[in-house]
Amino acid sequence: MFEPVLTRGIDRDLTRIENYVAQGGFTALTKAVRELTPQQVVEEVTRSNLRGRGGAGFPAGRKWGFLPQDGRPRYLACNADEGEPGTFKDHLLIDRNPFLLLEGIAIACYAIGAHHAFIYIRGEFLTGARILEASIAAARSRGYLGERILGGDFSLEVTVHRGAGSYECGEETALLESLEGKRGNPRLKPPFPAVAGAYGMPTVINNVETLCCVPSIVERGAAWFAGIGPAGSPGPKLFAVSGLVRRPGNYELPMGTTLRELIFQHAGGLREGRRFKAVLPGGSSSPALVEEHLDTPLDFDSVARAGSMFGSGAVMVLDDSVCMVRAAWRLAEFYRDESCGKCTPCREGTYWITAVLERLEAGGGREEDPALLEHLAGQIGTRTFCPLGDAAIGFLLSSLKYFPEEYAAHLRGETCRREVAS
Amino acid sequence: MINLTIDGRQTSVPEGTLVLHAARELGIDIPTFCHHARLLPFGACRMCLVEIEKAPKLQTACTTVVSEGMVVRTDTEQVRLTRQSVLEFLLANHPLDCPVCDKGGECELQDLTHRWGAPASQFREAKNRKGKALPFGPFIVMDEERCILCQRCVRFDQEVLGEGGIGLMGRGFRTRVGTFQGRPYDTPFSGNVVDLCPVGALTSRPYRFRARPWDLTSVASTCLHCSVGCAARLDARENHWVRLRGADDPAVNQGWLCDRGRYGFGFAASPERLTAPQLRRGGKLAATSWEEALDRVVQALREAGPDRVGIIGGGRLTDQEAALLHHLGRQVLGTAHLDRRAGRQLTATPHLAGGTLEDLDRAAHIVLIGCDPEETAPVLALRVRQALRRGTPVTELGPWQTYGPGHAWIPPSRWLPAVGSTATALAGLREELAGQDQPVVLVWSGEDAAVHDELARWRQAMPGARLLIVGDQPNARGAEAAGLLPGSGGRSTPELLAAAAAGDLQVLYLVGVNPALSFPDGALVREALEKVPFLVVQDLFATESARSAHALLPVAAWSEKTGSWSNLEGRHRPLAALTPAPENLPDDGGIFRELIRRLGGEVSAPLPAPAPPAAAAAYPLSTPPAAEGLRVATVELTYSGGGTVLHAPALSPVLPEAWVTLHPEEAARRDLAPGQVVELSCGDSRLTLSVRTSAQVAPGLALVPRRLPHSPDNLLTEGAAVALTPVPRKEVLP
Repeated sequence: MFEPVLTRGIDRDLTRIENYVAQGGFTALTKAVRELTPQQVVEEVTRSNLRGRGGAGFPAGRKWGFLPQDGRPRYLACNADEGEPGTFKDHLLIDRNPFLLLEGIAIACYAIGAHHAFIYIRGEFLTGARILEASIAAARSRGYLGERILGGDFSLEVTVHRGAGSYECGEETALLESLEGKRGNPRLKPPFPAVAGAYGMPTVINNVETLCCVPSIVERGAAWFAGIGPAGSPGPKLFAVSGLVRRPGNYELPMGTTLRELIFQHAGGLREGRRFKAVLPGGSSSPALVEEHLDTPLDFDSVARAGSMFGSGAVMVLDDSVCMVRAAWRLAEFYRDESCGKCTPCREGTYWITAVLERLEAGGGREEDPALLEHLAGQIGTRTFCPLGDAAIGFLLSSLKYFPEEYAAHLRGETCRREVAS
Repeated sequence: MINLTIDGRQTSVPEGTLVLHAARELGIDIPTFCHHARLLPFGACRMCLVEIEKAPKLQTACTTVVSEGMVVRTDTEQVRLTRQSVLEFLLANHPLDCPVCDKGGECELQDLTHRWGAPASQFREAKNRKGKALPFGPFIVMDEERCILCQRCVRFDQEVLGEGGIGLMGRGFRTRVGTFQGRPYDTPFSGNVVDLCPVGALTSRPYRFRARPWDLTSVASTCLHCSVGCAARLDARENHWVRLRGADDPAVNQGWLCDRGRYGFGFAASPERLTAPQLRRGGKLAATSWEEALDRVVQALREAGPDRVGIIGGGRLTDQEAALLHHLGRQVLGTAHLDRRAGRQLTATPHLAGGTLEDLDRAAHIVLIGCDPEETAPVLALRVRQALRRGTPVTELGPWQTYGPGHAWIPPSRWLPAVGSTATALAGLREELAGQDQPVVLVWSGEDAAVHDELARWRQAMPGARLLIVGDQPNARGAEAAGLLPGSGGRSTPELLAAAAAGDLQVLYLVGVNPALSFPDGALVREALEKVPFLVVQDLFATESARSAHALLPVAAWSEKTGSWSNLEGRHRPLAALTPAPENLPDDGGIFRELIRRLGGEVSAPLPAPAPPAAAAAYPLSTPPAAEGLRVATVELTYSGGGTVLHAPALSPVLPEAWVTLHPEEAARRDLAPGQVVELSCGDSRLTLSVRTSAQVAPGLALVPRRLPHSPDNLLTEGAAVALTPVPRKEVLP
């Protein structure tokens, strides 16, 4: 039986530090700074095979090992931007379990030798930012942060930095630009952040949920963590289920839980009389999967094999009341507006795609539109400066692939197959 | 060396080379928009995407560094389609207004579309509308719809200027280049963004709608505004000079220009230009023939005899003309009274090891001595900015600090405020830096005899030190090399003026100088010009010094003659004629030849080489005893002067007003606020000025700009005590 790790005790007001400590909070940090060397922490996390929960799935321990040993100060940046439509897992962790995040940050900084961490938090998460500020103050007053943590040699300051409302700032190098007070556009790589990140110094950027996994790995061991879910991407995972299910919300389950179990068992299935149509398994950037994919386990490798991406684990469910052309248009509009404007295919292509979809949806479709959309998506995909271009075309291409008849119907001027939601 | 294969061809290039450059070396052209040789790799336009074996997706050739065994393909269907698509994306929202666009014919978007674009666009949607003809500052106009957001302009502003005056605004398809908080883009280097713009988005007011590129004739030349000598390309349409652009001379200007040089060309077509020689008759100047004018000048020179003739000027001539003038003076007239100097500068020729502009890039320490390169040698200043950003220590000595604190991207210099004691401060610095074997580069205004003597001691103390003197005339150094300095027994400019004022001089010949404005002792120069029995002025315009001239000889402008000159490094700079001179005016050299011929001299043989220039011939400027209280100091500005700058219409929005800058404490002590109008009085002279304050001006100083025709600083005596009286604001009736 799986026991929650990230959301354990979350109903006991874990924003109060005494409640967090009472359920064993900060024992991992204590263990790390008192019993383990930084190198041992890195090795433990590497052995756990913890993969980044922000979407890319890069092994966290390896990321920590990339920092050059050249005596320069290094930083940890916690990516709490969570701008992906459909994703709201970090929001929960920040608001309801802030000390778990701070403990994870402190352990990670101890491991990589950073004495300053930044939490780059989405500007709209004002409550979350306030909770973090208060939590940092509380943790500091008890010696878990600040000078000489737990009486040892390790010191750490944590700064909360609120974003100003840009999806692109979730991309790690745009995040760094924004953190430095500049326009949130992605940077050229190399140099990678591990070599020249925040303020030009070696920097590790980890997602909130990734860092929240770290205390339990230190406390209970890499083997325990690696034993949860599939070997290739183990661990507990928060699935943010949204869309047309009966019980949308966050569900903490082992990696590898199938789409079917998540949607129909945990999230309560669809509304009365509705048929399943499609699901975006990893946020708005992931290509849609359809009925035949429902038994796909939700982990990085399996979802990729099914032709989509695991992403942040945000599962968006669409039933038969949804018009795929309209959905594609709505998502295209989002990416058009959130493109940072730096590179040509993304800036111009998202504008063009949105205009075509809007026209199609309004009944002005042309015979060549589906082929044109496919062509445009093909000329955006993999050609943009950062992954936003790929994110912008994932759902569009899958809608053209699985639902060509809906595009055809729009072209024939037939009423859109979307039924009025009852 | 790294071995790689591009389109099946083996090549070997140095480590760190970009794929783009490795391909170009093989003659394989990879199209680009955002890439620029003088800016950092960027990778935004995606035009240069190529296939690289083992890479999962296409890579930008402009950012990818070669690696051993790399296999690059630029000639595949996928690459061609990608180029076509990038162009299709760029053109989707582009207005396609090439027929009315200034850039049409020399537009990189147009050229690459012809080469790589699809025959027709698939775009059928409503175009994204943006701003048209938006003013960006005194010179620049922005068409946002033409902009392809390559960010060359923004990157130039960030990387080269370090200013942040322009940047991207909005995001996604609404992204546009705008000015910081909508303020005017008034950097003195604004015109470079027009050179950098690959399309017709950024245009300049002086050139907008003036010409089509295919109607232009061009010459490669240099800008003769200051002593830096920036490489430039001059364009004319039907013999009208319409544009001046930067050209990339890596050792000098690296492609950049200042706006003073770039937009000052309008003087050549000014209706105020002198087109016929004039002689004074019955108290008035009247046009006459060249024959008569030259006869009269020759007669005056003959009658005066060698000892009662003085010649001032030469720093605006070509080297060849300067040699002719030297020949005319020394050999033909037999006078030693020649001096190219007409202001405060003692010398433009270094008396310790001369530096180069590139030395500034390698310097371990840069010292600015009484010199604001931002105003007097702007493109040199760009290298100082880069040095500051690299962390090179820069020390400033003098009454003001150019690189003050508070700048976001340019760290401040160290400032040793020195008022009338720059040499002492410099001696202190010499002791501080002595023994350091790293190269120190000194940049000096060439003023202050005490500094000159102190610098001579640097030669011993620090043999590695290099000196750059920013000339107060563009070819000051060439003129000095040609021998246009008083020889033994010769009178320097101050002595010539004193002699003229004392009735001891018969003929004063001014060649391209305007001492009435530039000579520090305004009273002396005015008296001298009034009293000298025969004053010859050879210039483009009837300057302040020409008011009492007896003969006025108009000449061709520098864009109308061919030759060469020497910049502050002593580097050879070419000049090429772009247009013929109006009314077939002779150039200065032509007049010298004719005078030599009429005086019975010889010019056909190669001119004898001048003696090596006298080491900074004495230049006795009177200095008043250090005064108590507020003292006058003066500063040269890019846009000061009374000649060409006044007659270039494009420059009228940036001409400086008359101001006096005080340290904020001095202003507060006198209860003066910025913007307030005051009368500054010094002896019998009065100037009406508006108050500015700056903590980068030494306390105790009233800093006044030099050479403003409407507010001549030389009515004041530098270093003398002054009084400030607020001018009551006039009541404005409703």
